[in-house]
Amino acid sequence: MSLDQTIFIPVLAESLHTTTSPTPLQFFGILLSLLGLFFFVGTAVGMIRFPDFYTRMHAAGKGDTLSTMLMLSGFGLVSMEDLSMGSWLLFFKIMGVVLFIFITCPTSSHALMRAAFEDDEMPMTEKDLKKPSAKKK
Amino acid sequence: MKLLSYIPVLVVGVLLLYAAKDFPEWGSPDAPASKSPVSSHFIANTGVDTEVPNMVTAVLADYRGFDTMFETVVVFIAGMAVLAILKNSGRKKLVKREFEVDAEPDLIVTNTVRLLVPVIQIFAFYVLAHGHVSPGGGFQGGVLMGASFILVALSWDLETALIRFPLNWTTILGGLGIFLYAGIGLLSMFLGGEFLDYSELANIFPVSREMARYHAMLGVEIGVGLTVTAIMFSLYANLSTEGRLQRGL
Amino acid sequence: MFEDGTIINELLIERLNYFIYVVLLLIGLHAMIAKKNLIKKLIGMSIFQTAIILFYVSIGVKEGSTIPVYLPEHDPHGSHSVPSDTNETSHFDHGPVILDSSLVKGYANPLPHVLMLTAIVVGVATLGLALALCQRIYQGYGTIEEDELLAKMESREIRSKTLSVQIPKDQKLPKKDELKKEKSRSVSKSKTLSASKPKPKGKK
Repeated sequence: MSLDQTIFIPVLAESLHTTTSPTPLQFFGILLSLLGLFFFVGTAVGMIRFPDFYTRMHAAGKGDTLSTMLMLSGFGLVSMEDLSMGSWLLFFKIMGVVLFIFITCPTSSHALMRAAFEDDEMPMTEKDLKKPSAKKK
Repeated sequence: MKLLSYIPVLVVGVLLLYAAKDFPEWGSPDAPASKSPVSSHFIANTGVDTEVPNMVTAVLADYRGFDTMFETVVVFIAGMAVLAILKNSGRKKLVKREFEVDAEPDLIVTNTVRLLVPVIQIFAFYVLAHGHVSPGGGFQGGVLMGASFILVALSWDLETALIRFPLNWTTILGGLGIFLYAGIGLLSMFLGGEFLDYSELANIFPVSREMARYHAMLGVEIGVGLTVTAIMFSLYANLSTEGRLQRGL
Repeated sequence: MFEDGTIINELLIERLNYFIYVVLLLIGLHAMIAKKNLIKKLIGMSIFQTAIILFYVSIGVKEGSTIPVYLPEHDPHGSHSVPSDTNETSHFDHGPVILDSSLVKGYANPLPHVLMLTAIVVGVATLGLALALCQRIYQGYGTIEEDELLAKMESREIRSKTLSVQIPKDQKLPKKDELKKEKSRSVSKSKTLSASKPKPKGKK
């Protein structure tokens, strides 16, 4: 077994070679998934680069919600090879998950923010930026 | 001391990696685990024996029913042990811990939870009852059901959740679940079969022997679900308050 | 580097699942042996369990197989999920049949999944019990660091030995509920009674 026959690559190769060219709907789905992936990377960068708790939660809450929703709707579109009953059912199930995430994800980040606020965590201001001690923590 | 602890770890690691050379390859259908007569018998005969499409449920609740029953008993005993350890464990006074903040339940969070809890509970029932034909079953449904009560406790406070699900109910429901499971087993024993041989239930219910096993599995899963729901919530309530059952997280 | 026969090829490509399980298992083992904090030991135990679960589930994989739920054509009640455009007689075509060995290969092995389902449940139960014990230890000793705990237990043992020499055995402290009764009586009836009784000591 060589490198191109590893446990990961056959799956990719199969999906790339054996299927016929994607329908427009599937192509749109792939685009949506890639866009979601882009926002996911943005979320991760924001979590690391932003200076204080509130801005980090801003990145996590917004980016996570949007990217997960985009990726899931992309998967839903990709799964619709033919417009049969089963694929519609799968699509609506995925849309249910999207709705669930749309409700819960902002709520959870709100709850975290609120907990931090009750615990007297102060947001970073311009003064903190000027202080040299606040640079590294 | 710290360095000394690496020695057994490294020895075990080298031994395990050396042994991994003899394991079957990834996904090979000729692996001993997949080729064994037991699992191929389960795959081939589940449909004939029980008419349950989901083999995992059939193996869990029927072929290995004895195992699952005592699994449920283990969960119940763990819940009771936590109750026994933490109840009346000193410190009854309300010592305010340093991370505790006096805050009203949040409006947005409580309203979202009000919206979500019914959906979660219906989904829990779906997972429990649909476990025969799709992935799911008693354990999963029970955990979802318990999680809905834990969600209430997290977003309001523990007292609000304890009004909905008092703690002495958890003991009763947990016991009831095991009673249901063992009761179905005993009933099939009194009807002439062996313990947990559900096909004998066809003698008193107007179904075929296979469908008797099918429906008895649902009863068994309901028992498991009851126990798991009760014990999950009881574990949360006791662990989050050190057994005081007030002012949880 | 990745040619056939080399040890890296063997470990990282052909048997990657076993490699990951060994690494996870070692992380858990090391945490259980070397960490002083009891909660960290419990985290190590959970990682150890996860490694075992990964091992079992990865053994149950068959290449080109589906999940262990019957496909509509093998389903004993399959007529419900088959689209209605097939004719009526197909309803009776697929009653329950024993699958032959070529069809058995199409389904993943259900047995490891069942075993791991029960293992997960037992894992949750033991973890809850262990956390309860940790809380109890913290209530009793004020710490869950292992070395501090041992030192405290030792000093407490020495103290209790020296105490047992000094105090005769029949002078035990009154029990808790008796204390409560005494208190209520003393409050309701008279002050002289409570003054004459010995005050409870050593209440935690």
